[in-house]
Amino acid sequence: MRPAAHALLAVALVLGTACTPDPPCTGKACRESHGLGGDEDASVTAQALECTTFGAAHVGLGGVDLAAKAGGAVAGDRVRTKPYSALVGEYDRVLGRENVPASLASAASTFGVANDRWYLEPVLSAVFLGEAFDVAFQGCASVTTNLPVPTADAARAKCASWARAAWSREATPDQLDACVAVALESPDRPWAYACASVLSATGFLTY
Amino acid sequence: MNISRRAWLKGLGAITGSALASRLVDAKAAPSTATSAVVSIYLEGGFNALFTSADSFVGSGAFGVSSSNVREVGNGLVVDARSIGTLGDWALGHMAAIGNNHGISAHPAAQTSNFGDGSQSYAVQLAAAIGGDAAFKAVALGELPPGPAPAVDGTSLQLIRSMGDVSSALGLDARAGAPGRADTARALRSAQRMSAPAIASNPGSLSFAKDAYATNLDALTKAPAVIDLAQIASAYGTSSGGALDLVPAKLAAAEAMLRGGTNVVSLQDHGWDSHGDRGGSTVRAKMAQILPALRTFLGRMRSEPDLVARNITVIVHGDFARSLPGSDHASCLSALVIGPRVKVGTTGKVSAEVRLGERTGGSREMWSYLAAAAQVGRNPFGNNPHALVT
Repeated sequence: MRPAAHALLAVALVLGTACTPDPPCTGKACRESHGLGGDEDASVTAQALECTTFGAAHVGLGGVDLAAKAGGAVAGDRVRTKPYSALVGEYDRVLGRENVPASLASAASTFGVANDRWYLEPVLSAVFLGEAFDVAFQGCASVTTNLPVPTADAARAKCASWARAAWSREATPDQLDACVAVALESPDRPWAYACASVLSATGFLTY
Repeated sequence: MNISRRAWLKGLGAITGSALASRLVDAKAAPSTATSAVVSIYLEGGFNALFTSADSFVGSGAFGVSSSNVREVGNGLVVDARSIGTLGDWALGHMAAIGNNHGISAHPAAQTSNFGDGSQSYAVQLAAAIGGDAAFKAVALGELPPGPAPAVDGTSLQLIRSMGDVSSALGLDARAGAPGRADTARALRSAQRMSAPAIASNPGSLSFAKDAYATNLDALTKAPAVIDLAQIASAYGTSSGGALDLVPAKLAAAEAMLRGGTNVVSLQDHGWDSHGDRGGSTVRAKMAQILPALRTFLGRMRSEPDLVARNITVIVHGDFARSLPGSDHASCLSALVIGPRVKVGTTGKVSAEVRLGERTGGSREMWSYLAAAAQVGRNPFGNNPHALVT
């Protein structure tokens, strides 16, 4: 066996001791027993990949288990709020640099900018959300200045476009309905409010 | 100058067409302020019992305590004369040391213990029990206290990082061209609806987001507070635009939030892990840094009508007391509590070895005492074992 293969085997053994997933569920019988259907080439669900066996606890000096891991499905419940450093680029990307309001810079502390050589996990608090809405509204007001009075069709198209740009995925019909309602019901600057609502959703503020 | 919220709103009605009025016209009503409130000042690292159980060390002279630098307050309470003993007659007449025998001598676990039971936050539970209809019932100034803090009966813990955040939370930052409150509420409800699938599938990591939408929408239905933030900040020698990094700014922010109806305020001061401080000089110097602001806060509790109207209890606590001989980690705490309903006395008198009696109670019982001092209708922490409430 070549050295590279030895190394791979060693890594696999170490990982196996820390968290041993169920055996690969690729056989027809196994997949059927997990209720996944019998097709061997069907994609394995996150649930099937969930770790169910963990290594021994390793309690550190602080009384905390350093080997503890969050349970749950792979990639489940791990959403994080975008830090200020990311939001700056995100507003720029979605709104266009010329439309990003100056208030974004003054909101840095609200968004959790840390001192040098320090780190703060951003928290999507009520004030964070309120500030994000204000920034989005100003930027959106600039972006939508020359748009005509919204119609249902135009609002749906715009909302879909904003959601795709801001969230990097398509909005669901219900999400589009929510955005369209803002565009059609807001008496003053309806486009700006609709656009700001998309940029104030977790699809934009978190990842 | 104090102007009632109703009078202010009446006056505002005359300013037709102003941007500010447009922000307020759709607000339903001013929040009804809960009567009681609790301010938690947490000394991250530890809170030496020399401050609240000074007589425990007179015999040994530990932590630099001697008969000449202690002050007998009454009913068994003896404090450090040159720090806690200088807080003024009113504070000394409404002060107790509350024992917390949590039995933990490791920082992370002790810190978590001070604020919750591992699944619930005592601060949020107390804020919910106090009630009222302020949107921001429980706030953490500068940073969140350790441990999980899920919402309780619609009450959530909200993080306030700066004086600007205080202004935003209280609706003080109205400006020309700003979005209207009703329109903002409509748009945020829409954003909340768009976020619902993500929140449903990430109930843990997006719990703060869920609370943020609810809190914002609640706040937008209420009239902004009428508070002179600059005047408050000035009273504490700080500015109305700064970060909440030092105790004076945090206590100024605490006062503003209390005026806005907040029930429970949590703030922290760092650097209290005083290993090797055998003479107590390090912690005495640190206490001297925060006492002026605390003295200001306690004074204004008695002089400012909006604060006098509230039953505000202040607790100073920390991870644990410091052990002997090296000022390391004890496994208990002697917290300082000051408030209108506090009866002078102590359940936090530690032994010469910095231990508390087995039956003293732990962190839950400490918060039970705070709930009793706050006169909540139903104490969420069970019976209060500390009989020091008037």
